[in-house]
Amino acid sequence: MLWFGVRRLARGLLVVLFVSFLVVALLALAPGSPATVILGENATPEAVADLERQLGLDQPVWVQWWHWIGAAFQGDLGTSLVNGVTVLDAVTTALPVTLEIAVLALLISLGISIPLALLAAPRAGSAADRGVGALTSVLLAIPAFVAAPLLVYLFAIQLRWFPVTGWVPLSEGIGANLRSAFLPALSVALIEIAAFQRVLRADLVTTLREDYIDAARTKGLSARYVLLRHALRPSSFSLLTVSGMSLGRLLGGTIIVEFLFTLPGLGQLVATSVSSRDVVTVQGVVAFVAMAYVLVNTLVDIGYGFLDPRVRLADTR
Amino acid sequence: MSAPTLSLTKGDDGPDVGKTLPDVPRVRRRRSPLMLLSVGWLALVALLAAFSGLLPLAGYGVPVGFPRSGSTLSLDGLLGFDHLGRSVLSRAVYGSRASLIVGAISSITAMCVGTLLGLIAGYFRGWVDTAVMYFTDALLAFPPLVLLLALSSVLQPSYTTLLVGLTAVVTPSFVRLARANTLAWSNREFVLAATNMGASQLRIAVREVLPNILPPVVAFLPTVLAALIVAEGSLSFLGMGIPSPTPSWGGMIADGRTHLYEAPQLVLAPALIIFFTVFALNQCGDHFRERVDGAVRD
Amino acid sequence: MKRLRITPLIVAMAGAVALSGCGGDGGGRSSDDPNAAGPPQPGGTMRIATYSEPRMLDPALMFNQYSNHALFGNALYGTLVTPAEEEGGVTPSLAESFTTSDKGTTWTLKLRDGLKFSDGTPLDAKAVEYNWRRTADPELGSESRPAAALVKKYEAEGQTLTIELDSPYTTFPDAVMSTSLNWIASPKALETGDKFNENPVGAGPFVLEKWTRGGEMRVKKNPSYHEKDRPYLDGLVIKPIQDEDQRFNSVLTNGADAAVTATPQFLDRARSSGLSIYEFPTSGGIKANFNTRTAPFNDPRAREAVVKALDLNAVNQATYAGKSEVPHSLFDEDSPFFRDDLPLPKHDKATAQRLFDQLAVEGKPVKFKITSFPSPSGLKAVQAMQAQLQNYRNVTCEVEVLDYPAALAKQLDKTFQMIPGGIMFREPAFALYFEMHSKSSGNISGIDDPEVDKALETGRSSSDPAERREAFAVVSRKAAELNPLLLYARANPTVISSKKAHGFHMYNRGSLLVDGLWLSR
Repeated sequence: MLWFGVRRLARGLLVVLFVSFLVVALLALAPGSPATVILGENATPEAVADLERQLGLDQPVWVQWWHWIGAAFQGDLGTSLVNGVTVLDAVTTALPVTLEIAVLALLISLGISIPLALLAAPRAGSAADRGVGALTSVLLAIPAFVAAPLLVYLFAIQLRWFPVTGWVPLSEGIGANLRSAFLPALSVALIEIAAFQRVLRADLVTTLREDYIDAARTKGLSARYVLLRHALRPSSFSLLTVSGMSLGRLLGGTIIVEFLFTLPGLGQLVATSVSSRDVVTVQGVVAFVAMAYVLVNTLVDIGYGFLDPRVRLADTR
Repeated sequence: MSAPTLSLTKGDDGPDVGKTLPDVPRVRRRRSPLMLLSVGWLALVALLAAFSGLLPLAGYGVPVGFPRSGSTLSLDGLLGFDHLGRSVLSRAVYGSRASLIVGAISSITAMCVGTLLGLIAGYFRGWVDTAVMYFTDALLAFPPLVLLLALSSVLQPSYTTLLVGLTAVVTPSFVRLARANTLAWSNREFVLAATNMGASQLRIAVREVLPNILPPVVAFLPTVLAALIVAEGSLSFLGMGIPSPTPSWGGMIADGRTHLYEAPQLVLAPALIIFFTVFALNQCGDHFRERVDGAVRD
Repeated sequence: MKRLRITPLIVAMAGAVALSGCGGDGGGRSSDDPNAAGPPQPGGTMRIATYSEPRMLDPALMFNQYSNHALFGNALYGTLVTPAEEEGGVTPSLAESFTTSDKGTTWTLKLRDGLKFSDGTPLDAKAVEYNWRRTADPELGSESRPAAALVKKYEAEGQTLTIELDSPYTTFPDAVMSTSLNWIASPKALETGDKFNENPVGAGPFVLEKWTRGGEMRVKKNPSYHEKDRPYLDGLVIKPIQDEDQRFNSVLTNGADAAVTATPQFLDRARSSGLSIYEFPTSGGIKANFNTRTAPFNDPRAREAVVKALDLNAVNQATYAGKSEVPHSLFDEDSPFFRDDLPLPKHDKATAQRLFDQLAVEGKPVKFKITSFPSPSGLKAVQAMQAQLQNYRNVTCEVEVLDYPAALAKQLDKTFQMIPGGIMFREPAFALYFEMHSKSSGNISGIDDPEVDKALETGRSSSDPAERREAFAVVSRKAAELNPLLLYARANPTVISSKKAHGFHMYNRGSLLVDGLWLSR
């Protein structure tokens, strides 16, 4: 069991290495360099070239990558080329923001999708089920960049229930913090609600066809009891998987809401860094997000494998 | 407690020990009106995308009306005019090319490449499998929007960049799906039988396994296309989508967003179009998947 | 948009006016004047939304402009001087006086006595010299290097700094006020390198309390500020909000007390929502430079054709909902250098088409790319131009959207053909020399005309107002002939604020002063 987890993580590490190489390669190919950004409009070509040499940007891509890897393994993720902030500092400041949005979005999604699935599955095929299905189809079609401005218009400007922009950290009060996180989290949660509901509903429908459900019903247990106690738990595997993937995906996918709501999270950090060619910071953030994604998936796989030995064994064939 | 809905045995509620296998009513997707509407919409959009040049509409880049004005009685002015006075209808029609055609090419390319890789990985296993899955997982772990942004910075926003980027982002999903299905099918009796009869590995892979993994993979296609339409929109929203004057639905939303107050139709029109298209695609995707699942179960 | 001629002189956005507490900053047009609200009340924290935050708090690396970091600089470092009513004069701030006795070659900057940075070290002439010298260092990459490089010799003694410029420059203080030279940081703190961002020591009205990158910056009142009863506010919260709509929305929903913007289409909504507006009109404006070094714009006819082909009112409609001001001349109508007999080229479809045809016949058809940054308004303007050009024959225009480093790289290696930018000024000597002199590093277009050069040099070195007016008249005339750039909208930095926020004054490039801000309770 442990060996399984370790193997997965080791492989995940290799994945992260490749991802970081991609980052260096891509940014090296992009026109303009951090030297251009640092020296600005009055730069002379010589000054730019000088600075690039100083920053080690004239070296071949794989050499730059190798240096970064070496330093990273010693715990040194480097310092931003453009604003002198250490990458570790930048990431640890930005992470709680994105993490809170992601977790809140996950909670909102689960909080709405589970009841909807529980509502729809036992009534599979009925008007209620089809209605919910249509609703989820609707939600699936509302991307964050459409949802966010509409939600802002409705809830922030017209109703004034939530702030239009800005992030209030937890240290300044949980109420204000949740208010500033709600609209962004809701914008990204809409699609997740639909995805989760569908996955859980599908699993529930399958489970509800099993013999032991029938047996439980014949024992005289109420429908609701059977649904919650006997059907929900075994049907959660897919939901667990999808939630894990969703969390991993959200950690890297909040760029748009962070831009619109001015949230100082990882999305904003990486977008700003890409547009100032701050290779070091982009590497740090992408590597971090990739690691987080790998970690979450590994945990989900372990959890799954724990519950279903066939999965664990499948890898060894 | 009336009308208990958890009734999986036919008929009434009480203990029915004498029954054999419970007859579970399959969720039948009848030819629902929703399904017909979806297919109809998709057909309409596809036709418009294909023949946009032939329609009697003003060019998408030519200002023909008063900026940001609403619907007028002419064909060009049906959906009003954008901030430059260009026909919103014309731009929406032509914009379907960017969204649909780019999305379609990307998703189909990804499907072909992904299926091939997934098939090879899942069937032959060993180091091939390890190598393919390594690169696949790496691409999956890379945050998609960051990848697209980085590519836009490198290649500069254009149709090509979009094609390359979107294909790269969705291929891993197809690889995984194809591989998972290949693994499931490879152990079936008829495949083992074919091996025993002395057929070559390649022949088996192509003749026996491939036709069986195609349905679930193809069923996934509409969902992927929908996701790509959204991805293109996100990129345009951040200013790195298809450069003007070429329209795209996401680009129209990005352009119209700053006029949400005076002329909300500039955002609502493309948003609704994206919405209907994605909705329709998901309906079709659902339908195909139900069919496929049903086939598998039988 | 014709404005009342409030004063024929250059306007004063200054400490002096704010000191007296009376409203009326001559020349700035304010409807629901946020400054006409009675004596300032001390206390409170004002939240101001602005465009973006700086990468580094090193003053030399910040831009003293409304759409960049002026707010941060003025808060942390204060100002050496600010403009005065009369042409070329200054109002004291950290400096008592800034004068020349030999018509602009030697300047004497006299700082107030006893000035100290917030770390206790003295703000003396040596500190100013230190800051200005490092700004001139090309390795540092300061945007203000062209201004700092004008100083040939420094002599620092006590609170008096005497400098010698390499040529007479009668409005040199304007160069200081248009750049980060106006901001002096503690040399001791600057020596700490990257750590300076955590401890940006200056002598401004505020000191740093907390900075969350990507979030907001909090500053609190500097107890050792040189003016005893200033700043009025206890603190300031500066919120960078890049998205224009969201910035405006934040004031609308009381998420901020004020917002710096230049988006004129918000003004109507602001007025109808009961918000106050402070506008700071300037000359120059939003421009797009042609690259005269390469085809097609190495031929002046191509430039003239594009300029005349475009209907700027339509561009205005598309970009700013018609609410911006279309410039008809290089100088703003309230400027003493304005001449209504020297307008910019007018929209002229026939001439434009004729020129395009002519060039095509000669085998030099006008085919070019406009490089654009991803900002929404910049993009819209460029789209509008391209859409209009489609109505002409023999001209092909493509739009190329690049992100900031890519566009900057193109500008630096001069491979662009047409690229947007901005030029704003009230006193023209510094800005126009920078833009159009053949030897200036900021001459993006690459124009090289001896008559222009001579006029710009005269404009800088002459102390005779009539001679200067004549020189800049030449510049105006030649700008309309040579068309190195297309000026398509005035840049009028504006502050939209709640009715409770007062004391807004800007100077030079829309640099917002903060020591006079106050909130009414």
